[in-house]
Amino acid sequence: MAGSGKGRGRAAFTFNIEAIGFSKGESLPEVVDKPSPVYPITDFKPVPLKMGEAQDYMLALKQELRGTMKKMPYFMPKKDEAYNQIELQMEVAWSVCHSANVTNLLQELEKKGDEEEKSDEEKEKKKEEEEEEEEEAADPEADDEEEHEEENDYIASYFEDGDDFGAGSDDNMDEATY
Amino acid sequence: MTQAEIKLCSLLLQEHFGEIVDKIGTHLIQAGSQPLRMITHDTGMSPDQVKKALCVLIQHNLVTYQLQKRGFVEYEAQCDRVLRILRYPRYIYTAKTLYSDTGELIVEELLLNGKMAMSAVVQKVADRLTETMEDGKTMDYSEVSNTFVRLADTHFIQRCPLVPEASGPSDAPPPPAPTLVVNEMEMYMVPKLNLVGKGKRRHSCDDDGNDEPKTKKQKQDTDSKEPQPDDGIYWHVNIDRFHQHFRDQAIVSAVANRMDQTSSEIVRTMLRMSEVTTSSSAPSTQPLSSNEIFRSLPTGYNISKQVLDQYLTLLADDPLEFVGKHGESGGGMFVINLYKALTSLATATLESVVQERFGSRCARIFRLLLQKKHLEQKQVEDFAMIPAKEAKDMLYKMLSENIVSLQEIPKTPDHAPSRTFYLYTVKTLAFARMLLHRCYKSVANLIERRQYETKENKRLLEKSQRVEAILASMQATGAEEAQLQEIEEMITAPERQQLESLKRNVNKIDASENQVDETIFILESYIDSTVKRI
Repeated sequence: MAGSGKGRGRAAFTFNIEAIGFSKGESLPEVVDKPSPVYPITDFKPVPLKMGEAQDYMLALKQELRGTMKKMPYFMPKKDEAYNQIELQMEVAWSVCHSANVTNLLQELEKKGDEEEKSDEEKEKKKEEEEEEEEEAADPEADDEEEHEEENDYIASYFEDGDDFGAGSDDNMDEATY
Repeated sequence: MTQAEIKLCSLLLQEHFGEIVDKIGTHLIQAGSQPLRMITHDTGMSPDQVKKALCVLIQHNLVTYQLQKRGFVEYEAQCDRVLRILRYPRYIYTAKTLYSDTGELIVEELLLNGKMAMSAVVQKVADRLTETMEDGKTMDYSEVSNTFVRLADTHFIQRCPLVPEASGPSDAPPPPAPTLVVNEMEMYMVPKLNLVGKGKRRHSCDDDGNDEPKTKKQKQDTDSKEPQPDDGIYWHVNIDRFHQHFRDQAIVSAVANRMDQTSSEIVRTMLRMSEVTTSSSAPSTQPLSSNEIFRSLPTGYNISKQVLDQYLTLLADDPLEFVGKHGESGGGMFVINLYKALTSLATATLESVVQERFGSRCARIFRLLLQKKHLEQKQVEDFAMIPAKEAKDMLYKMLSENIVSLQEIPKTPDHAPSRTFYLYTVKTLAFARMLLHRCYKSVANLIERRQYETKENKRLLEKSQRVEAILASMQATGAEEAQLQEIEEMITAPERQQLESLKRNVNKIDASENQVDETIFILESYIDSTVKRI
């Protein structure tokens, strides 16, 4: 047995400990064996906040802004809080946003009512295109699946699809599937 | 996007736009570019809600869309734009200092609504200003228009990209998403509007008893239903210009702190002259000759040419290198080194953080390392004049917090530790990024705490609001002093104290958020300046 350090159980480093500034035999700092605490103890108190007219004014502005934005038509609160209110808010948000021309032109963001007014030709054309794309997409997918089934031993039933798989609404067939 | 940024964006969206917009906005930030169908599927919300939330987000310039080659539209959220919501009070306050109340309200309306047409802005601002004025006085539309034009001329507000003119055959189906055209020349051109009118008070019919104002009001209502001549031209706030202004402010105040008032005025003049000639991302301003600067100094300052030259030489020789000498023509060409200035400002922030968290001795070591770049442990002890044990302790504490880092320089090819130099160094950019991440986390924590405090005292707040409403209505109907006091006593003294302390805490937290945002601005500007631009 080659000598493994000064004595049994004594820590020995592969380098000269003097190099990092510890003198021989000195107690080393404690070992870190867990992440730092979530609320660490600070040795120094934080500096007080800046005070002044500008800061006070900006504080008032901030609080006012928060309050005003809650009353704007763009604010959409949670469902269980005020169901009727959201419907109203959403209607107003809708009309206000649409008045800024651009969102009016984003076809898919138009209200459902407007979609029915589109010409039938356009709709049929679109549906035809989509059907073609779907068929194309379906074929290579089917091939891939078969290949995979042959290659591995996984039994498909072991892996369950999530509850949401395939449960999404298939009503909006405006876009191609891929 | 880091977790801290996403959390902060989510909180900001929730506070300002509600839960539904928050859910969809956060999902888009996390998932990247997505089409409508995927958003609906992933968030599990009704298509109606998703559509409306997207409308709101696009209206406020927080989400952009792009028509993909396959024919569908993808939506992408702008995470850093969402974080700017934190800075809205600062933008509004700056507009107030530069263009007084009218400018303040114009910027506020544009920030609240995202995009607005000029006529709508002018009308709304005039109405709001009229509300605050004395009885009988109204705000003229022309005054508001003038301020609007001034804001556009100085680039603080700009036009939104326009829908292109329909050039193709009209019976071709319109594309699923318009490709908006940005006309660089027209971005700040104000449309010629003949806005005549005055602001209206909400209860103006109470003031005059005769029938005339009523018929006038009817007329004005029908007028507003006709399309305004500037239909389709929308304006939004140009936040880059505001950032440029904040950066200039920071540089000027830094010079004022380091030297004196006169030098800061000279620097301010130089920056003002370069506002239009220099782009916001340039490393330094265009060279300005000393003669030009002398001519452009504000009229109040009557310093002689020689004194100006002396000041400029002093500024150029300063180790901070805010001002640099570019040449000798025209009495000396001088530039302001914007990138160097931002680096100095960020470094000062880092130093102050180290000082406040670890003490002035650690700060001394930090500054030493910044100056000398790389030092061995022994050298640190010698230069900083701190006993070995303490110096070692501090260095290791800073090392564990990743403020300083070790650079290994091996003497032998086998990298043996006993024969390797270990040098301490400060990586400013890495430390700045880490601190920025911490700032985002801090603001998120502050918002959470504020919401918690408000929620805890919800019952009490509602009670006090009810009492105030009762008091107001009773005062309006003329109640006795005794009755009013009875109502006031519904809120007991300890409850009043609780309300006071709640108000104090919420104010403190809000003020802290504003102040952290100032640090965020400095650090972000510095980090942006280091990113290489193609």
